[in-house]
Amino acid sequence: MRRFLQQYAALIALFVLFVTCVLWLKEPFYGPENLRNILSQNASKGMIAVGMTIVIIAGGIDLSVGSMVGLLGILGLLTLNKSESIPVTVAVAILGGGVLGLTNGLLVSFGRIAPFVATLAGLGAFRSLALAITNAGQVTTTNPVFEKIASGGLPLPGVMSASGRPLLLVWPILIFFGLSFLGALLLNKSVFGRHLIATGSNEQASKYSGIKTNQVKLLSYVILGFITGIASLCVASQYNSASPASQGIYFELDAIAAVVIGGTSLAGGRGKIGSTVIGVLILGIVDNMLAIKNIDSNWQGCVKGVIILMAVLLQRNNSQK
Amino acid sequence: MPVLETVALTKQYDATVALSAFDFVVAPGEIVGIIGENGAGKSTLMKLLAGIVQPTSGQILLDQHPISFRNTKDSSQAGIQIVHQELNLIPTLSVEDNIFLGQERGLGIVNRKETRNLAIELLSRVGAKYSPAVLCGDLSIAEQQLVEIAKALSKKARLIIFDEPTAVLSEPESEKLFDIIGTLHEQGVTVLYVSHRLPEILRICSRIIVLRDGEKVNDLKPEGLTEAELANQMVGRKLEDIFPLRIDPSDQVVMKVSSLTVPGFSKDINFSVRQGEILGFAGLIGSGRTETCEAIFGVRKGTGQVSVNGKDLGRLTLNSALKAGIAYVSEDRKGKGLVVSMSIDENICLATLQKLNTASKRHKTGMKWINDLKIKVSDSTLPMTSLSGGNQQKCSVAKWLEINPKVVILDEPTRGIDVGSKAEMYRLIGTLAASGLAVIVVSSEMPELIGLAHRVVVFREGKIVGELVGNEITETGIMSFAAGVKSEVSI
Repeated sequence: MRRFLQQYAALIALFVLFVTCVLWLKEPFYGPENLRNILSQNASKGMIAVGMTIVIIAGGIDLSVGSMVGLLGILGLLTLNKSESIPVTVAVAILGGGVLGLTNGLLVSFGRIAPFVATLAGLGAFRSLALAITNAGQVTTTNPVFEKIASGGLPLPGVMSASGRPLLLVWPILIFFGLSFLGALLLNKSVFGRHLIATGSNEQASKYSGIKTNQVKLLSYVILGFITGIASLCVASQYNSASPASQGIYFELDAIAAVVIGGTSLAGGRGKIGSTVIGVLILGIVDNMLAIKNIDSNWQGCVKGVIILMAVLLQRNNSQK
Repeated sequence: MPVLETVALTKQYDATVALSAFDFVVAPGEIVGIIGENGAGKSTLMKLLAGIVQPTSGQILLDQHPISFRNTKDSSQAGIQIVHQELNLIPTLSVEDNIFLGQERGLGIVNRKETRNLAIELLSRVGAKYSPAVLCGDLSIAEQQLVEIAKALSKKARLIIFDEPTAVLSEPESEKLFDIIGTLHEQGVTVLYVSHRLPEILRICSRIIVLRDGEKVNDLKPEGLTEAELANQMVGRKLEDIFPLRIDPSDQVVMKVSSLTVPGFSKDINFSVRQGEILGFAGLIGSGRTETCEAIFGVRKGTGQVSVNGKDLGRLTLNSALKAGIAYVSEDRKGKGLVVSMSIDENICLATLQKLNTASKRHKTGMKWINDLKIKVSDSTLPMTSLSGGNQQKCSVAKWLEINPKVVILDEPTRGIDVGSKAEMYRLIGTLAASGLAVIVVSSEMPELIGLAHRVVVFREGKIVGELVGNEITETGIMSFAAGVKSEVSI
């Protein structure tokens, strides 16, 4: 029973939270547009959380993703304004993310620098680069197609928004769910997934089994880098601008929080993508709840902190003290 | 035609020769026992054969062809597998995924059906009764060991090296393992069996290689050999000679422990130890000895009464233990005993920093213990890492002697140190007892307890199941309690 509770703690918490909100906040909460908004507002962070889960399962962590979002947004929009080409912009942001992830991965694996330290360096450096490139100014765009990345999507049949048009399941939401599905497939079904879990659980044993653990770790950061590139485009498209000082701020903490709330061990070797998705939803609903109740947004951090601690305490394995 | 041969195989670490000009020949299907004390070169030999380390000089021949292993992958491809004492499994992966880790079936996506079928076949070869889909972390140690063996077989192993496989097993589990090794033998697999448990070596091996201080000292057939002869071969001198004379203890009880319970580890422990007495704690790994000692010392939660010289300690905390004069030298020298990055004198003074509050006082104290305990180092300000295992162990003992204890608990005091240092450690333990301390020695090496202790209590599954005094302290006496053949209490 205890084991069951621990295993499904996050799911139960999400259910309780959802029911509470439905009963307490009523229509403003469970209206389809609000539910859609919860998803769209958290989709970018959610994508990053999925990538973060992979890195954490392999025994690492990445603190630089928030700054990456800032830097890649700038690079993407500068490219767009120069080239006016969406494909080139998308390629620059995503490949740029891959390169930044590769840098982190090389430092951690072959450079043997502790993941916390290596990516802490990135946290500072990437944001500073973004500020330096733009001289701390914003980059804006008026490209009508680019705007559609965050605002376009698939209409939900039969569901209307307040303005009377069909409610759109916007692209970022679909990308978030798509990446989650791919991530889960990778972890549960693929050979590489076994290697990720093994490397994070016991690197020595993995090496003895012939796994190239450095490559595994490196690749986990590159995957997260690619995903962060995608997320940065979604964020920039949402605002039609890239702001080096504010975009992506605290994304790394929210992503790690979602992973932890989902029950993935920061020690590595264990975790589920599905749990991370639940973690993202819990954080999103709490934000939304505070907003609907008009609670001073300065309190958000405190509430999140309490939720993270509760999640960890609930899932602590009592037999292993 | 020999399957494996080594010619003058040598491994040197800096100045220490771990294995010296080792020659041996193994015929297919043999079960060769390799015995020797800690530091005799057994693990070095294994690591060389598995490609974990590379020889300084000499050669390994496989099927009479010289071969060199750059890493474990090379040796594994050549058909050599090790079943490590500390199992190298991933607890969060299923049994089948562990068996095929690093050699998964399927491209990109794991071919679940093929993996499952192959795993079932391998598991049946090693007599495992569980499903290949369960997580390794949910299996017992003995069951996990079978996964390791299946994993070795999956790599088409022709030669399997077992490293102290029974150290973590109970008696019936060991019996099953011997059956499996027998089956492997029938299937034509060659086995190298490394252990220091002489009875099982004599039972299952067709040939026994004795290593001592990095050299092969003998190559024997088990027929007609006795344990005592083997033990003497291993130690290289009569066992009696390396132990100090036992001086009769006084009748005065120093520490009395009653109804001590450590949740999850031990239950209702009662014993006492007298002035000048060396009390041995025997038992298998995991029988609750260490946890009991840690509870007495107040670093692990436990309930019960502990009194020193008639005075009850009250609640068991580190503070009350230290006040009463109880010292505990941990089995985990590097983890719980020493701060290896600090200097020798800082380590020795770590428990008495309030008194020894200046560097000069600490230096003086450090030098005093270096002299008293004959720690082989010129200056006490050198880092801990400049000492060998045996000398580091002396430092951790010195740290606790500095608090002027009345009771000293030594947990596996000779783990991982060479034979010479062991003899010195035994002398030191004898001296401590002779000076009037009550000494408890926790040890998994039976000869040690037989040679040192006035009295031995045997732990099994968290209980004291028997007590042996004087001449009763023998290997068979201890084992019959430890393995559950005999018991003075009901479990």
